[in-house]
Parts: sequence; structure tokens; C-alpha cells
Amino acid sequence: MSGATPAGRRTGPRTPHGKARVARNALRHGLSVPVAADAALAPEISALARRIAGDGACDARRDAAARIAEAQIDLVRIRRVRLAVTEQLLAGQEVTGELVRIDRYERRALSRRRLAIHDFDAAGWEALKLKVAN
Amino acid sequence: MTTPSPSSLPSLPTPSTALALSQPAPLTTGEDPATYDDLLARVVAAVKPDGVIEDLWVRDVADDAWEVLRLRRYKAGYLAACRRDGMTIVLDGLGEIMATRLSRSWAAREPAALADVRQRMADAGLGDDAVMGSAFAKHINEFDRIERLIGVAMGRRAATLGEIAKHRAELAEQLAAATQIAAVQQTVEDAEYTVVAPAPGEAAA
Repeated sequence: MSGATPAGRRTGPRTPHGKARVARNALRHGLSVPVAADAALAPEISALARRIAGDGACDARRDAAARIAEAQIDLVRIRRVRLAVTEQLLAGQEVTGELVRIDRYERRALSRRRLAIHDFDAAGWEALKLKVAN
Repeated sequence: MTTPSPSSLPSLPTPSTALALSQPAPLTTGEDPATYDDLLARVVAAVKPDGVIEDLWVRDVADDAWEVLRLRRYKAGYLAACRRDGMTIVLDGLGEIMATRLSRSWAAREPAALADVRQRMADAGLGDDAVMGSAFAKHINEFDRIERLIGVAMGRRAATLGEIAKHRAELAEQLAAATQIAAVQQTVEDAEYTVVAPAPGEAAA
């Protein structure tokens, strides 16, 4: 029956369950968008990256710092969503599956941050060796 | 939990700590910001973060610890809220035809129902554990999910602490290696500039 309505005239789900399901879709899609694609987050990312890299950092270290900052801001975003979903859990809604899905996003972001920190430290070590050698 | 006096709190975070910790506290409705701040201050005091990256980790550790506490609280509250279901199962097992109605009155603390249930339980040799156990068994899937979330948060916290330890160990190793390189270079430079005493014949020439 739903197929009978032209796409342009469909108004989306009407039941509370349907609306909640669509809201969760939007939430999932929101988290799947990379933070780098969000212009509003760019100043926050670059400020944190500058702070992590410190003064006089080499290119490799600045690069890694930018990746750390990007992953960190993504984590902040994911945790905000998780907090909102936790509120729903405490209000008695069945959202544990949603929390498990959010955890997957968080693990990926944590993994990206871990790798970036590793590269940041490695670049620092290379810079230190060069400095000592000179 | 009470809020500790300012004197018992560790010193204020350093500027770099403040940067990483500047995100709003992950509090849900009804949670006490002072208790969270206390937990965070204790984690900062225990880990003593050095630099922005360690600040990020410290905040992660505190937030995960807070989440574990929240989920445990939620689990306890959920079990308490399920007591009526447990009582229905117990009364049903004792042959009560109106088990649902009686357990509802019991949950509403109606004196007649409380006395009736107490008597039946005593006659059957059952205690509160039977009620809680039945409630737990009925909602085992929900408890399992909460437990899983607790496990996930605890795993994250352990992984972060592991990262801090590894990071510090690697840094110490690098510093030791750099010191060694510097010492070797110094030895080479010293050797290059050693004044060699002339041979007896050369001195005269």
C-alpha cells in the first residue's frame, strides 16, 4: 500500500515506533560522516592539533597531531550521542542494541587515535635522533 | 557520595589538562557534577598526566569509570523495579491463582498484601533471594546486555591505562637511547680532539 503514494507526497513514518526508528537511522548516519567533512568542527580540530603538536614540530609530527585531533573530536561527538542514548536507556527505552552499535564507532575512533599517537611518538623519536646526531 | 573538602582534593589541573578536560562532563539527568569532578580529580591525581595526549587518556579513564558506576547503579535499580515480576513468579509457584494481583498489591506496599505474602513465604521457607532470583531470571537478557555494556566500558578503561603505561615506557626507552647516542657522540668528539703528545725525536725537530 505504501508504494501507492508518490514519493514526493510521503510524509515519513507516523507511528512513534516508526519515528523512533527513523531517528536512529539519522543518528547512525550522522556518526558515519567523517568529522573532517563537518566545517563547523574544523576550528576545534585545528586548535587541538596545534596544541598537541606544540611549537616547532616537524611536518610528520604536525600531520600525526592533526589525525589525533580529528579522532579525538570524533570521540567527543560519538560520546555526546552515547550520552543521549543512555538517557533514553535510563528512561526505560530499549536502546542497548543502539549503545552496542555506538560502541563500534567509538572503537574505530579509538583505534584511529591510537595509530595516530603511535605515529606522533615515532615522528618525535626520529626528530630527537636527528637533533642528537646534529 | 559526599563532596570532599577543597583541601582533600588534588591540585588543580595544569593548563594542558584543562584543555583536554574542558569537554562537558558526561552526566545524565540527576547525576551529581561534584561527584564526577571528584572522580576526575582523583584520576588526575593518580595518573599525573604529562602533556596533552595523556590528558586525553585521563579524561577517557574517568569517563569510562563513571559509566561503569552509572550502569551498575542502573542494574541495581532495574532489579529493584523488577521485584514485582519476581514475586508474581514465586506466588505462582506457590499455587496462588491471583499471583499477579497479589504481587501488585505487595509492590504497592498494601499492609494486607504484605502480611499475606510474608506468611506464605515463611510457610514455604522462602526469602527475598527467591523473589530477586526469579526477577533476575525473568529479565536475564536485559541484565546480560547491561553486563555487556559494563564489560565494554571496563575493557576500554583497561586499554587506556595500558596505552598510558606503554606510552611512558616507550618515551623512557627513547630518552635512554637518545642519551646513549649523545654519550657515544661525545666520546667520538673527545677522541677527535685529544692532544697527542709528540714523540721525543719529533719535539726536538
